[in-house]
Amino acid sequence: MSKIINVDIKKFSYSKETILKDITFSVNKGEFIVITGLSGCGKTSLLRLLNGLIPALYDGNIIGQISILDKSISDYKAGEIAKYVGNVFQNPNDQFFSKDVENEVALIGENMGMERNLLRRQVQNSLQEIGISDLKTRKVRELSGGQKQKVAIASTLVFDSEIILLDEPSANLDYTSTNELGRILKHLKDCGKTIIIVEHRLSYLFQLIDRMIVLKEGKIEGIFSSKDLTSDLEQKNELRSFNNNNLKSVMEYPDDNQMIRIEDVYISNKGYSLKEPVNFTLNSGECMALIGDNGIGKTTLAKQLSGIIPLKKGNTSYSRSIKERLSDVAISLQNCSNMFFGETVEKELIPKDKIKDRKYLEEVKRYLVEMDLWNKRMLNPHDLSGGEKQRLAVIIALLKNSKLVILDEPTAGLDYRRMKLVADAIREKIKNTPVILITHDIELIFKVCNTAYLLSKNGNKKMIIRGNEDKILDFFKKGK
Amino acid sequence: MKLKDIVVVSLLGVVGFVVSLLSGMITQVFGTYGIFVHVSIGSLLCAPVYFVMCHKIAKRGTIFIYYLLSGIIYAVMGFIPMLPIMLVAGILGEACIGGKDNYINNGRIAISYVVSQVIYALHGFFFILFLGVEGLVKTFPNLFTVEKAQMVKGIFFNPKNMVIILLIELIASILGTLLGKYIYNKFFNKSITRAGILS
Amino acid sequence: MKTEIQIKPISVGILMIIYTSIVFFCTMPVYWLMLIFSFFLAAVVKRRKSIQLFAFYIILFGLINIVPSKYFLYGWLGAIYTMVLIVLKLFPLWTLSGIMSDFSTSTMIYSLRNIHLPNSLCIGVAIFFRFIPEYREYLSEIREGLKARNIEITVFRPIHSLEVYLVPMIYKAFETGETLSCALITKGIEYDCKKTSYQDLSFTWRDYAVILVGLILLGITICQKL
Repeated sequence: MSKIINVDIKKFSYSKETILKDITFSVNKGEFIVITGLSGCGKTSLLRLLNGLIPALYDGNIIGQISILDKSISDYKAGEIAKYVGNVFQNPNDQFFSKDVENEVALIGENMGMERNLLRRQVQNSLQEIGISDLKTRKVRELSGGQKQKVAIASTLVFDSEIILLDEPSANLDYTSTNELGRILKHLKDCGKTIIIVEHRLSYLFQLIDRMIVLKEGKIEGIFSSKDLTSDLEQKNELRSFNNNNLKSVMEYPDDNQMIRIEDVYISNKGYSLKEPVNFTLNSGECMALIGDNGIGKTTLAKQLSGIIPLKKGNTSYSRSIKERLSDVAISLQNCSNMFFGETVEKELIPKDKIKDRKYLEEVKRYLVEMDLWNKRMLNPHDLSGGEKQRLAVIIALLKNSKLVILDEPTAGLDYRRMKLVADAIREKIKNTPVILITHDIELIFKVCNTAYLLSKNGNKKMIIRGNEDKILDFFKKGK
Repeated sequence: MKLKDIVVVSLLGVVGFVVSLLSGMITQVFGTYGIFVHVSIGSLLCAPVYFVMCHKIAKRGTIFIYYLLSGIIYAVMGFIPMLPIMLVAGILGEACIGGKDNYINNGRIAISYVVSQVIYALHGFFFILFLGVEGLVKTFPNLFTVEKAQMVKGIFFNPKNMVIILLIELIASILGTLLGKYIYNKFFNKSITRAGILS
Repeated sequence: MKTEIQIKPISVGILMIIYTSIVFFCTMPVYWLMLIFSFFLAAVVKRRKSIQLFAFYIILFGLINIVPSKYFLYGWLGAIYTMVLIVLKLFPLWTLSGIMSDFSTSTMIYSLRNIHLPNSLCIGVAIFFRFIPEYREYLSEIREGLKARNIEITVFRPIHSLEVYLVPMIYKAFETGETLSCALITKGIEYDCKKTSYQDLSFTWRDYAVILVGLILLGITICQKL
């Protein structure tokens, strides 16, 4: 087999900081490579070196050589590499330049000066290949996260690029879309594409991996072939689990002491409504997972329960009005950067009237240290990385003096170590305040939730997780 | 300028545009006097965008592109006469910055902002000049007599009011520069060492 | 579904320039012709949008005609009244703008490139159009964020109220700018070659007809003025 990519980096650094050291590996044609490791291990930089964003967009000093298709990356003309390497990014929204699907997919061909008739044919083929021909004339902004990623993948096929690079493509996807993504990647692999994917979530890729490169603090910790992927390796390198199917819940049952009662709440927002009403109670020591298909109304329910949008019908035991709900419920939003308004992380967490409150300050400090944000406390919240923002949003919710805490996708895109930090903090919180957790992160559910509320068009129900792990997994897979 | 700089300037242009639109709506509250503050509220509120932009993309052409883009957008929206006005605003804005290294100089940014915004504020006059009494009467003969149209124009276009409009604009943009500097330093300036609360 | 472009951005642009130059000087019959023609074009390009525009015009026009004008010359009602007049006057142009903003981003870029605008400027304009609706949405997200944090906006703290909206928007611009640049660069926007267009943008008889109508309107106005 011929080597399609050769990487031999002695050292790579941004200004002073060394990011990567002694990275040497090569990739065979048609191989499926996963690059993983904790956040900050340098995997994103490595990917940026491969797709030419360093030095095209980011500056940095590289000592070493990278060659793609037997040609040094620095010998390619500006932008030329796009012919051979397709890219899919993490943020499904901002990566699109065009308003509608077909033009977005066609963009790369236009940039490369592809002749129109050929381009039109290629766009049709690419959409068909990914199975999204029906989305052709849709507006990109109206698509779901999973559909957006499919569009991004389709555009890599227009030029028939041999190599496809993906940067945490599942970070903003739900369970079903993630598996769907896995299916498409398998199809691409079968077509002979060489795929390199940077990812934390590994279970949906497990069947596809040829080799896995684990980075640690800028160095290669190991390169493993598919048969080396054992749970030992998982634990040793703090990796996300390879296989979600045999996870077991570690949580006890909640206490009998009822704290929150939700009665006959109807999910509705902007023309959408779920027929079945929502009814549940939360006891002390309870963390309830709120799960259901994409678009069923989980986030809407969270916003209704926390007073962000009005509750048209139904009662919440903890408060009677929108105003009370706003002050009595703590929530961290899915788009968490919309919650930050302070000058620094510290001031975000410490309101003016608490500045002298010793006990409160201690608590803030403890959270910052526990969540691995202590060194970032003087930065503006918007300057944090994605995972750091999520943890900050969780701290905001947990710090608030509230009767109920709601966390909406707090761990999407977090590595194992940070996911565990969040899980520990939630477990601590439920001793005093019940938590509702919206997530598609099965590992997190089995770590912190004792109950689950299953939203579905065929009726909603609540169940204890322990002993029902299979049912929960089944629900995720089928949505019923 | 690199591609990324242009992309960011364009997006900041969108922010400025959105803020201007919103402040345009605010001016409705002022009724007839709205004409006096029509652009001024925008000048006050958009200054932070301008300050952050100059500091973060301290390159020749940033200001020019910022204004040129809104000029083109106005043109595409049907106000083609806005294009030359914005061009002039952009060129003078760049000129006021002076040397290449002055894009991070708050004083220079402030001068550049005030000058370019005053030019921008002039567009209202052009607009009414274009419409004219005759235009009003001709377009809506069943609604306007010449006197009525004259009155409408009179509110917009007597020398006293013109001076007031320009003066308000001047004050608003100067206040804007103070606001811009304040917000830049508070939220965006990384070279300031801030006093921490926790230790 | 048909996705070919009926009328090209450049011909709409030329028509806009003609409209702009005559809209303030033309006689009422020409104004009506301009209005009808722009509605017609909108209907050809996008039926639904044209119906919306038409309904909007009828409502405004009706309002202005039903309500006696003498009550509205002063105070803030007067300002709105004048505004509505201006809107009505410019409506033919705005209908064309509506058509313009409906073109896809890359169609716009390619057209702008064709009139030899520098590449960077083309990208800027395209981004502008693409992201205005995005920011409208983003504003409502910020509002939700404020509610989630139970932060209230009051007139008594004007600077704070401005900060909480403006600062996230500016940061968002930088964040989006980075992601978008990554996407554009890896899609070869900087590749030096003759760029092509997915949509066929060469002129057809329709475009020449559109420009001809524009020129006739221009001619009539000039004759009437002379």
